[in-house]
Amino acid sequence: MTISRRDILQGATALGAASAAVWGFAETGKGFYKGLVNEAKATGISAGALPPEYKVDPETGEAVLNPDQRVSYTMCMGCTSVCGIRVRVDKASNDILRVAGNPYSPLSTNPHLPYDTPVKDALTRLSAYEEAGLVGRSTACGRGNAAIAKQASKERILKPLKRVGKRGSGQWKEISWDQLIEETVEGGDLFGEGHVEGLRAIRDLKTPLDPENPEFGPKANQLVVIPPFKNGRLMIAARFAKMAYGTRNFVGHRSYCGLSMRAGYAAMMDNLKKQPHLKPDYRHAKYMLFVGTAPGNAGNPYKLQGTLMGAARDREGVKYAVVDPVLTNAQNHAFGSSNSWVPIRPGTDGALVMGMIRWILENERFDAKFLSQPSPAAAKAAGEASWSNATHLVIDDPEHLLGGRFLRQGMLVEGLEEAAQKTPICLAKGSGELIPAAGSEAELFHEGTVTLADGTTVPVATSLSLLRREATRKTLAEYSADCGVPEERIVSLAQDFTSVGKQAAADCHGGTMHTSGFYTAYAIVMLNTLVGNLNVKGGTTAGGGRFKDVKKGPRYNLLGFPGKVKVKGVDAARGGFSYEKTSEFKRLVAARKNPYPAKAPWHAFTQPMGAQWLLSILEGYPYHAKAVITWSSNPVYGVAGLDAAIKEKIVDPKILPLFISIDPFINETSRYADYIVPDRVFYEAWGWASAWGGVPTRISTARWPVVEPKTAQMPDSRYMDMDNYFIDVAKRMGLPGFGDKAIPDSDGNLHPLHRPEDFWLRAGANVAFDGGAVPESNDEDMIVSGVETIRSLLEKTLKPEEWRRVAYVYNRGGRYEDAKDTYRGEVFARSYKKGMQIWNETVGSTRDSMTGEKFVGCPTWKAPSLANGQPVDDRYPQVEWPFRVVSTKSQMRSSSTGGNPYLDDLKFSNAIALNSEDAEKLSIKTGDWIAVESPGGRITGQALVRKGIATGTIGIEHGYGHKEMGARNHKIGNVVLEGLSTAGAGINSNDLGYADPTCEKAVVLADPVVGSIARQALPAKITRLT
Amino acid sequence: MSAVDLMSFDHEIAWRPWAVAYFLLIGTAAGAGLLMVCTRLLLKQAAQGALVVAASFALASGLPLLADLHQPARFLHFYMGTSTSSIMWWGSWILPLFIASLLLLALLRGMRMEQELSGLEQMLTAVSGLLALCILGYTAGEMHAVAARPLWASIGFPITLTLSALMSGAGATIAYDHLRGVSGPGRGMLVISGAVTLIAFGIWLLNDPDLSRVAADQAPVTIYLVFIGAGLVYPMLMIAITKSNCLLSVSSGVAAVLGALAFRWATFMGAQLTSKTETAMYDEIHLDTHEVLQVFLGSAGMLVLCLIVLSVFLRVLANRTNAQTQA
Repeated sequence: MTISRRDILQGATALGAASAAVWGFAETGKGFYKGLVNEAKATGISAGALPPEYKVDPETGEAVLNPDQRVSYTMCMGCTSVCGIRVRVDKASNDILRVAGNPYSPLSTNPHLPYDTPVKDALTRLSAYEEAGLVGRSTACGRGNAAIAKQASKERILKPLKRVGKRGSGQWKEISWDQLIEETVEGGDLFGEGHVEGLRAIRDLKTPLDPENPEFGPKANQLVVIPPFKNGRLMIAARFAKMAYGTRNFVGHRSYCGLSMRAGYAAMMDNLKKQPHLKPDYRHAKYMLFVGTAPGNAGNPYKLQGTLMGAARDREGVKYAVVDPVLTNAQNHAFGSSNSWVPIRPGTDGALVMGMIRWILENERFDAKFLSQPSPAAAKAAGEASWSNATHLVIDDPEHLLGGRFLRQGMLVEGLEEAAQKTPICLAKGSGELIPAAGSEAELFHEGTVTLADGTTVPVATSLSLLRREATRKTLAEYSADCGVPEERIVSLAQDFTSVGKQAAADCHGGTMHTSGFYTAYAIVMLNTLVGNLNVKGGTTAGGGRFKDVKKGPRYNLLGFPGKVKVKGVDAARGGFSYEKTSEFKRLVAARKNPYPAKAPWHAFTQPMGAQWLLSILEGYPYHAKAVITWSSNPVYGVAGLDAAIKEKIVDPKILPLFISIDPFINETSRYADYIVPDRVFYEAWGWASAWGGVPTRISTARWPVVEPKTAQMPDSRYMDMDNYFIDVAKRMGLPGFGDKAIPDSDGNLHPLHRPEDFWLRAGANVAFDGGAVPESNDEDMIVSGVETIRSLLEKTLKPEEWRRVAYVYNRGGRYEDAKDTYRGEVFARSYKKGMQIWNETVGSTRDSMTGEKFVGCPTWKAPSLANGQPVDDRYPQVEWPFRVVSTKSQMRSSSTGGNPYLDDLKFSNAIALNSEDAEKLSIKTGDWIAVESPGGRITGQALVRKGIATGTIGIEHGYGHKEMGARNHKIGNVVLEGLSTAGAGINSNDLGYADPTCEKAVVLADPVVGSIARQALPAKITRLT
Repeated sequence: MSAVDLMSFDHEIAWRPWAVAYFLLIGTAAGAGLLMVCTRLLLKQAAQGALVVAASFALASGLPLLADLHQPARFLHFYMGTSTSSIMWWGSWILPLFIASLLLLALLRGMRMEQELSGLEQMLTAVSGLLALCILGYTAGEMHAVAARPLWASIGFPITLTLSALMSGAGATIAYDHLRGVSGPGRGMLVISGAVTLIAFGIWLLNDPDLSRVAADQAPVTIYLVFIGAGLVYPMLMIAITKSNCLLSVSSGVAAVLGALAFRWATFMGAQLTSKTETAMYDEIHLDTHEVLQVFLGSAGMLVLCLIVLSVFLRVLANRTNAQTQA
């Protein structure tokens, strides 16, 4: 055999090629080997996955349950969307294995299953049988999946704790439930620091808490109860605090994160008390404008919005724009020009929208037919789905006693009946005669004078004329200069919005939480009024509402009981009460002193503001509290600037004598508590919630213990939790509404309230019977859904004709109206009745407690300002403070996810995002350590340089920078709960919030009109550290 | 390979650079395979070069495909059930059949000395031609199906991908034949497929301004220029102008293959720079990273190894067959 040169060359090449191939594919080879023999071995489709909870016969579709597992429908609380979920539980260990979506719930499935679908069939509809699982896909989001870590967390408080060191020192001891109840009710020298009044002593419903200011109400108001948002459990706490104990200081999560939006909508929707709001009809809208909200990235309901926006993007002809200083997932590049991002200077959305309104009015792109209808009757005759007060005449003199109020028939003619007296006046279309707002069209624009019945003449203008006046205060160029959005872009947004008739919708949310927030939100939602989209398919909906649960329902009255207290007095943070009605104001006037400014803002037409309570009661303006109970709420983390403002006073028992916190965990607020009461997490608890918005059909989501609670049990087998704490305190104090004869049924018979289920199951009976009773559940459905585990409670608590119907509801995780009932023709079946308010006379007739000037009653543009009216940019000039900080929300985090190991595994820290042009000027690169300083604080973190953020803006993702929630060591007896560095990683933009320097009494920066906390557009400067 | 996501977390990119290697190799194999089929069935020539190129490229394509799966052993799942609605599932069967048909054809060719094809060879040739078309169809289809990537989901992309595969197959065959001193088929196919690719590519991107913008945003323009200049225009001109200049022919063939590679790199990797889950762009994937080097060197090594082994094997087989015939 001879070897040629060619053979050698070929052999050498082959050797080299083989070496290259071995090097190149080495990782592949290793991976392949691991795949066959190691943990990831590919032995079957499910590989190392858990055994499935059920299997479906591919031929017949029959579901066969796994006897070792249980699948139950309840409610998620990974964020505030409260989606319906299905929870998979291991029966032997009581561990939650996985979480997915409830196919009956419109918050988790689009479209949701018809309510009468048998429970077992629902399982089949989620499977591959006939590919049904793809169509009816029902999921929980990543955050909802990760939330199961809460239940098993080692950081949970399972028994009552009492502090043994100074407040906030992290030193605790476990105490018995009885000791907890006794000490918090009866008081005493509880900490060796002097006598502390207990809850019994504080509850005085007759003696004024401040005789010099009797409007503050009775001493009982010195108990302040701060609960979380409407999480489905709120009403038993409200029953205790307001209806039984009698303090007026109980309110849900309000003014932390979305009050500007709520107040803006409330002004437009003529309901400042209940603050309803609208959502676009994502399914049929042709154009949507989102300002300061990012549907699908955050917002509420987060998951449903994401699903519907995904579908909208794929629908032919749909366009939308997202106005936001930060580019988020709400905009999707893959869908080209159908959607766009409009970067804007933080806090200036109002300028952009008022520019749009100006262009719409000047170019007559509004819906004149809709706006011309002055009443429901006229709207009905014209075929409109709603009406507005655009044509109503307003008394156009701020200094007149009636200034800002509507001209009403009673002001023109004396001796009318009461109803006729209140009828607003407008000008008949064509003739211009003064006519009552009734069944015919009226003039849209008018400014003139009217002689009243008393002979005086007053200037008047229509609501729409006043809006035009406000909109034309600035030119488009000036609006553009203020917000940083080019003039032509403002025009194109207005053109797009008014090019699709009523199938256009505008929405906003947390981006409006700045000191120009109320008018910004009012302006944004005013766009909906200008196209008359309320109740219209493809327009906006106020939602379908809920079934009666904790209400005066068809079976039980859960809002009324013998001895119920009617609360009185001023809110602890001056919300919902006019400064001009206070004794303080009257004293100053009597002393011939200028009553303005007040020591701190009073917000006459907003609702009680829980976010301001802690600071107000520590400052003692309007009054001090003697006891605070926080329940699953965390204002110190969530309110911008609060931590710095209170941290010295809150630790002083002389200023706040008693602080009780009810929480499964120790958070930034409960760290200061004297007592911590353990509580259930949401998989273990009872309750009834509804969709926050965006669901046009009726929905009531059930929460019930799908796993055994982990908190300690009492001798009578009850678990230690919020419900039982309030029940036991009330019973010890002998408060009405609790105990043996507490809950009236529809026949007037009284039923006991000794255990949480006494309350919540009866609410379930109301749900089951409201609007027609649901069928009775059979035994099999209860077994399939796991409701079998509470069957004995149902039977024991409810009437024979009730319990199986309530089980039918729990089997499905709530009660849901069918999707087919959404529309009636081209309008929503469940429509909002009140008219759209171009001018809100409550707003327009109220004075600013700091400046004494009347507020404008329609949208207007005023740059973010301090309480005394001074623009923030004047006080903190851009030259010195070149950046404005905004918080951003992600899909994975919320304020309550701190320390969640699953989420920390994905991303345990956040960064300080800034625009690449700004970064270049400061020589900052991604990963550099930088410091951000505001007038209220300083934080340090790593820079994230990106183009997707407006210049001059700093974006910080919310949900990080915890100081508690597992981030810090606590000592309970001799046991140390060790904090994890990952739980406290990152930064919290709220640490940059600051107190308003123009107020005598300390308040954190807030909107001057409604008091919403300013957590956006905070002035800041950056220093490079590395 | 890691992708930095701005608001979420780091995770591996879905279509790794191995996909570029796989689609280049299997596309070239299909192109050369079709060239072989046409030459055999229409011109009645053996087209041994095209056969070896097709078989070698196809054989070398398997490993990059496995490597792209993130967990290579996952490929077993394809064969554990049926999923007729999945293009990839069909591909998992088409690919081994295509490779097997080419190897069998090569074996048969090595065992026969006659120029004319046997009946079995003719039948297998037709089958492998059909499978080559299936390969082109499934590879184009599985990318076109990714709606989240507008560049891939557009109609022009699968057409350009397929045409560039034909050109690459012709180019590889020309280069291989000239390296072994043979003037084989493929010149006409290279010029025609190159011209049509150029037209299709132009219409695809220039006809739709949105798509042009997306392409410009996502893929480095320089790589597109390499594709057009070096990958399309140069080989077409050289092949059209020169007749049988070895150096120019080899360089033109190699340029056609590199052009197809450039196109795949630009569109596969570039399109993935836009995050599917976030409003963000990933960091550009650089060519000089360790993993990319592994992809290119590993795949090239495997290809060269397959070419040598197959060539040597056929030569040995032919010598033995020849000796047996003479004996």
